[in-house]
Amino acid sequence: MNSDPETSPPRQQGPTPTDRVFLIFLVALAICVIGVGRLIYIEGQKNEVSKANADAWSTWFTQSSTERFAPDYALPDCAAGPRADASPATWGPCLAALTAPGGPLALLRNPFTQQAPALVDKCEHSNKALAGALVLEKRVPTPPGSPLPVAISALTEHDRIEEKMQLRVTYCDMGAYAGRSVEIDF
Amino acid sequence: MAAKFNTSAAPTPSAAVPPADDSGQSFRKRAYTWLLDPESPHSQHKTVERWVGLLIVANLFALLLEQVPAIYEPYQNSFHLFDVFSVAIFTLEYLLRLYLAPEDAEFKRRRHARLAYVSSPFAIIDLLAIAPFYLQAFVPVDLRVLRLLRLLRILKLFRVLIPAIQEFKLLNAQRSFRQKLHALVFPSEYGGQLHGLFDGFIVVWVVISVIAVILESVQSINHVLHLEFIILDTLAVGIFSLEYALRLYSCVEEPGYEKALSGRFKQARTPSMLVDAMAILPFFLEVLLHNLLDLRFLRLFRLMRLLKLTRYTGATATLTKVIVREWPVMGASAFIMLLLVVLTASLGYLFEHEAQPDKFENIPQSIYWAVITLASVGYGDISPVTPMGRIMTIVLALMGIGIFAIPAALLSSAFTDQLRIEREKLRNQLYEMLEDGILSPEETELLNREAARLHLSQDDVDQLIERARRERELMEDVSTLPLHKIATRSVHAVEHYKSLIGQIRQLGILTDAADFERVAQEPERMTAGDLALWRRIQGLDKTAEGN
Repeated sequence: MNSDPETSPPRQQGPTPTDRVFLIFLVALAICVIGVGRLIYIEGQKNEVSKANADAWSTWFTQSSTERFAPDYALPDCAAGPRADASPATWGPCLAALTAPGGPLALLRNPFTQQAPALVDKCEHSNKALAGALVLEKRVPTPPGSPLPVAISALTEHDRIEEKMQLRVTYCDMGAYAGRSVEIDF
Repeated sequence: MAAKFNTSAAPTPSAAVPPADDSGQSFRKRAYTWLLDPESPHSQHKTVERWVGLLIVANLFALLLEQVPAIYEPYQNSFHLFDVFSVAIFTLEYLLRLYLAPEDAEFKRRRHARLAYVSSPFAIIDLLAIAPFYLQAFVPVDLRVLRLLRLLRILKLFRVLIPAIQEFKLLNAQRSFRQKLHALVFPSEYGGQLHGLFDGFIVVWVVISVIAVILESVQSINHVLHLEFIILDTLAVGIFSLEYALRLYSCVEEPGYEKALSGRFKQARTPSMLVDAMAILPFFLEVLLHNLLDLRFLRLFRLMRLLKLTRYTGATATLTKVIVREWPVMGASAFIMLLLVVLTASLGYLFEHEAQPDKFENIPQSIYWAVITLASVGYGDISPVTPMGRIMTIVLALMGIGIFAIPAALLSSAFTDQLRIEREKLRNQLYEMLEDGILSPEETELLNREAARLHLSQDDVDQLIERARRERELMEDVSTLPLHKIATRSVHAVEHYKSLIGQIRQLGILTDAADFERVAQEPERMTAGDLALWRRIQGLDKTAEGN
């Protein structure tokens, strides 16, 4: 293998057996990179599905934001205004109606778990099980003079939905980091 | 930009205009010489090729970006304008080459030079690159088909690639496969233009992948282009991995790395190869260790690819030399800083702990305050409240200006000094090269490399050549040198002796010979031997002449 480009005599011009082995290695390396790239791409596609789930929720909220104030709204549990029995309209029954079989968001699947996307309080990258989960938060304007103009907190089942409200939808990506948030009216 | 100069002793003037002796030639000839003639030293053909090449690459990227609706749709007009601009330039280039074809050595001897040009492979490629654009004006073409046809523009790159490959083949005839690989990836006399293109290709991919990593961190962009970033990263890693493997395989052709295993291991441990490894590792680790490592950290780690560019500049090597050279002084300065930081942090803790136990909780926390104050950063998150603490802060801030400036000043002056030394070395090399009055192609190659490394402009190089030439001329006039310098070289000594004899002869002609004889013969004026020598030099000694 010893050689010196300055002094070594002319050698065989075509590839030697060692060169051929190296070329095979190069092809193997390229295949390996493509294979790893494909795995990352597949994971990336799962991320896209999570993103689409978040978009589906945002779209539904946006569409319902006006429709749910109509008297004959198709999903009575999510309708605005007081209930017939004078009980308060809360998020819990609405969520159940949305994700129940036949509900508008029942078919959504978390690509990382193949189950319905879980609604969590926040994305935490230390907990990888949260990948693909969704975070629903309500935005409540703070009184004048407060240091922050809006208070953001997780949407709980007991939160009232009788009136128009501002929400924020976030998805947890494959590393369980928070993805892009979308702010919508409901 | 590195200077390029030609194989002549005289400084190369800027190639902005054709030479004056071309005034009698036709406009076409002058235009060809100026714009397209690869043989003319005054030609701008390399500049033309470089810009056309860049436009082709930009077109390739535009074509790729057009496939992404999120990018294409908002900027549809800009893409169209760029397309029109590119076609205009390519058309202009085609027409120019067609017009100047009768001056081209390849076609000038043919009966119909322009027809010969039009039917040449490169001209067909050039026509194919612009034809689809004009075709759509007459025939309705589907947008997807049109985009596909526009891919033909890539073929224009062959105008640069084919000559480079031919030159590479010529330079590497009779060389082994591995030696050819070595010539491709490592700088050597066998690399030619193809090695430059290879380097350029890697640099472009480094820049693209670094921009992609930066843009990935912008959530709104990553939201839309996440999958595209994955594809781009896979391509970049593929290219960098192949480059790494090529370097490792062919490094045994590099002097100092000849051994099959230990040579490669030695090469793998070089800083540039470690950087290369770091550029590709995160990609594989992301899949293998995604449960153990923080994915975001791994992605940001890809920014290390930027360090790959250090291979293509001598700045880091110069900086390393400077740091190594100034290490003792910098070490002393760092020691003083360390002393000052620890002492002031201790005093800060002493004066402020009672007043602000949460902020000056312990000495390590006070060290943070001391460094921030000494470095004149002053975030203000920790500040003294006691009178003694404030007095000390005033002293500390004033001292910090001086103490922290020392290493910066040292580095800056040493850097300038190092550059001066290296330019001086280049000047000495030039001086030696000009001994025979001309710069050979090898010498020019060496000068080009050195000028690029030292970031010298064409003007700087011209000045250096002129200075070296003048000094050489001055050296040829040995009479201006001190006698002991002349005596060191026999050639100079003989020349000086001849010059002195000539001067004595001149003196004999100019002076009154009879009066000189009279004064010289006065007692104690001149020895008899000296007078005899004078007469002999002046040809007055008939005996000597007869001999």
